[in-house]
Amino acid sequence: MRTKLSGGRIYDPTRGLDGEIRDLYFENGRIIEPPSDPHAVDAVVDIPGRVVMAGGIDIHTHIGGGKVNLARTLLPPDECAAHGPVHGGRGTPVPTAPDAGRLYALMGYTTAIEPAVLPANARHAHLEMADTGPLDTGGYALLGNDDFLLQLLSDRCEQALIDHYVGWILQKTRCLGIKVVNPGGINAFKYNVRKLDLDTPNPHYGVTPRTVIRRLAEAVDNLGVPKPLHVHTSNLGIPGNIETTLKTIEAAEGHRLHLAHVQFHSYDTEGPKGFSSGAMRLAEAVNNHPNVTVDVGQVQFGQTVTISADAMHQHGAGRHAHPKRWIGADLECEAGCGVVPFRYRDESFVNALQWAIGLEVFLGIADPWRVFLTTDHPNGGPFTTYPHLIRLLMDRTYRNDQLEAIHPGASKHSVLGGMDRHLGLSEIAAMTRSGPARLAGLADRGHLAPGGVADVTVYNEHSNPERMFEAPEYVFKRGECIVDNGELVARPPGETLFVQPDYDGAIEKRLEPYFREVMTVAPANYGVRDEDLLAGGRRLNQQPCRSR
Amino acid sequence: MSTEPTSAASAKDLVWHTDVPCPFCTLGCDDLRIGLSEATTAEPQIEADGCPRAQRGFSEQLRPLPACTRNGTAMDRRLAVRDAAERLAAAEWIHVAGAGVDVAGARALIRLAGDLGASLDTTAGQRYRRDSAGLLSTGAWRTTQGEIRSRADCVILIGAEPDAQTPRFLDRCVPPGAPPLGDGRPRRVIWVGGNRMPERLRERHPDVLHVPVPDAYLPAAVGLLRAEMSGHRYTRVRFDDIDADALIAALDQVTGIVRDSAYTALVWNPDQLPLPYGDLLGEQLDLLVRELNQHARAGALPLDGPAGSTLGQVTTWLTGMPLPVRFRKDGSVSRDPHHLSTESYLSRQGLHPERDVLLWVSPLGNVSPPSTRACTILLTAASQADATGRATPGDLVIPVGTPGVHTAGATFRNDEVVTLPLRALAPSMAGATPGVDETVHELEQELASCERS
Repeated sequence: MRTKLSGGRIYDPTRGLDGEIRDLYFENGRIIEPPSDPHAVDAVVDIPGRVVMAGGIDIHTHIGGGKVNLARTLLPPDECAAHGPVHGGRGTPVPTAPDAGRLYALMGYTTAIEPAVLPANARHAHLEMADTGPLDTGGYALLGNDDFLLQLLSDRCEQALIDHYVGWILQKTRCLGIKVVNPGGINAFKYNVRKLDLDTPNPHYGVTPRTVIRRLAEAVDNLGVPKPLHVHTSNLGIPGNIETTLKTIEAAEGHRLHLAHVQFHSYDTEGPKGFSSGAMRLAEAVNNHPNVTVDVGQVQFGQTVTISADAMHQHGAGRHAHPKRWIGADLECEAGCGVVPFRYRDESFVNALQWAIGLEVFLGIADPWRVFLTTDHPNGGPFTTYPHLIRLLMDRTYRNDQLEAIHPGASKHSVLGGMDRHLGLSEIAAMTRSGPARLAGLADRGHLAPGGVADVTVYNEHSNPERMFEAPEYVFKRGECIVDNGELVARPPGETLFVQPDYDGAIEKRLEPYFREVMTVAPANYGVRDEDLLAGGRRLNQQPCRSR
Repeated sequence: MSTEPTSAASAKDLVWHTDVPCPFCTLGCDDLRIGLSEATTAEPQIEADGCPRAQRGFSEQLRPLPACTRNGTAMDRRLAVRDAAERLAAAEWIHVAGAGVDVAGARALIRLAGDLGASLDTTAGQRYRRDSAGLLSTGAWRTTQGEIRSRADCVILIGAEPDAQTPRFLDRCVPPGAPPLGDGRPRRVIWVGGNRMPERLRERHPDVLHVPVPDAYLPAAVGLLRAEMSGHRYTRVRFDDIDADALIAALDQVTGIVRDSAYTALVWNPDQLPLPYGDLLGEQLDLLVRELNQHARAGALPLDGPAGSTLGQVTTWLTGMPLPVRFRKDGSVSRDPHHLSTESYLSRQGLHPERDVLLWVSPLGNVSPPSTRACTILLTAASQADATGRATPGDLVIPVGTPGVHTAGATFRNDEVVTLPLRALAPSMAGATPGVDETVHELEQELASCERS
């Protein structure tokens, strides 16, 4: 069926379209060139003056896997209601898998990536994400705290071996990229180390986080994986960690690097409470390093739950849990996790300043293609708060009103109040569509050019951007209308997005004795199978690697 | 496959499958070798390192399914499914209890329970529920099989005979010698509990430290251990039936070993903790591990019951709640750990076969159906269908394929991190061995036609 969207204003930063009125055509799930006869269509949707963007893409959101399910167990909806409001009013900060798919679709998002897939838990993550239809999903596999890699690095093995191991992991986990969390630090915590700086050797392997980052970043580039290494740096949440973050940028030695939820890693130590904003230093560094991208991890006030593989720092955060229960784990010689419910309060100096720091990062980084809109769902807040966040970025007056309403420390100890910049629709489109697609190497989406997948969102422009972005008028998924005037009208199954780089299978000989001695799963049973990804009619969507 | 396999004389016909994942307990071993004959005359050969559960499970289930039965009398499968649908359609309170289901089976049962407005739990949820009391009250720090095997240089088994339900636990997770990711020190093993310490444990670990504690004193002993490990000392402790000084001296020894260890794993089985305070004792143990982690490193692994955790995991990601839950036909779902459990359902006064239906789902055949006045519909494995069909009047028995034998699928291991990729080992039988998910689909089609008529 050939569909025409007629009269909309197209926002497609990939082609420099900034509100131009153009008709959009799609057929068989793809955007097509306008036909020579504009009437040769089967359906016309008149959208005069509506804002048209590609479907939203969230490149960092915890939506599948063991940690997410632990969070649901800790905070079922009836329990959550007793502990404080959840921003966005949805009742629980961690929706069910089907609800996550529904709520993202209602917000105009069509693709979401789980950023922390423990390789041993990859099958579970994909099975759970299969129930988030109509979202297309993918994951980043966790490396950098696995004993196998750390031993290779300790043995000062050649880079090719690291490359082949990373390739093998991506094949087995069917992920889009590689993430490293507190490099070497989650492993160090298993040996009772409570803090690991960038240049401090891991106590068992003698390898520094700096080395882990550089070798993994190089492997990702050598394999041609489009997605840069995704880095949750050392010293999460610690005042003064801006120094670590800046040094981490240098540690990549020019390789592409993505810094995850960078708000939590942009803290300085000035001021009477020894906690201040390092956001502008971070922004300057990102502006000066074109190889670096970030997602913000914005804090939103209200009840949420923090979910992280960073067992070391989540263990430290446990004493701040609200409500006072939390779970952590050491996981299968690969990583760990910590799930800590938390309530961000606007009357708290620290939380208010965290809120301001995130916004400083958004507004301080000049290139909207290199800073992405996330709350590190649900760590900073649920993803349902994105429309509110967009309003804060687009409406300076509103932002400053909010700043005045929260703890005065935020205003006093940040430069946010003096930041005049407010974002336009093209910048929002870059941060939520074209930039994330380019980051993750998803060439078929994030744009509205012919050949792209027909994931399209149509908004009614509104003077209040929150109203506009929380309820798109239409959402199309592969050309099928799935949202119509605020209602989910169809729920086609999504696709799993992944890469399969080439690697030398000889790495398996090296892995065999390790699996026999250390692991409790046979290598033959370690990987994700096609059938794990195809439940409910889902499809596979292998993304290309770059040629090397 | 012949229902009466003959001899091993045709062993040369066998096709060997290696690294076979085993579904028959929650340990999730995946190193089995199973030899099957395509010609269906040779007996299957199962090499499972001597595991009796694997041996029995594969032997009993590697066969075609028997006929459905009602009141012990064989009936056509289509009629049996129709009969089940009619009973479910007419019922007032339906409880669905599942054990050993895989992810696809779990999804199907959850969907069915939702459509029927039923309550849902594992088959003995209250008994084995290790999560709700402690986890929702204070939380936990957990560890996994691989961490225990490869990093834990101190393993404390609290009243646990792990081999009872997971026969190869000690072999796979607590082998003797130094853990490969440790600092070279040999592993210490400590057993805290009554006098029934398994001989096998002593054979594997001759220097196991046995701290004898009668069941009734286990909570007190754990309390004393928590105090010791936090640096407090109790004096003038007196128990009526046991020597308190000897107990404290033994706990001193435990404390010393833990302090000298790099990583301590605490293992217990909720089913083997003395009830009725089993889950509160579990919470104490989780608190002990949390306290240890203030200055040292430790993790807990409560062993799972025979039902496994797959149904629980899938329920939580689909409903947002831990088991047990109840669905309503308006689409809402609620939870209540005490009043919606399988045990609670079975203990209700006034269950009536005309009004109430228990749908008991046991595709591994390892959990016997209860005796109840509710009408019972069993979806169960071949061997259990045979035994139950002949034995229990009134029941409707519909045999289903066993995941990991007849059908492929995924199931969670007891540390809830690894999911096993179960294989359809006997695909030649696949057409005649519908699994739980396919059988539920048949039920749903019949239910739809019940509604139309």
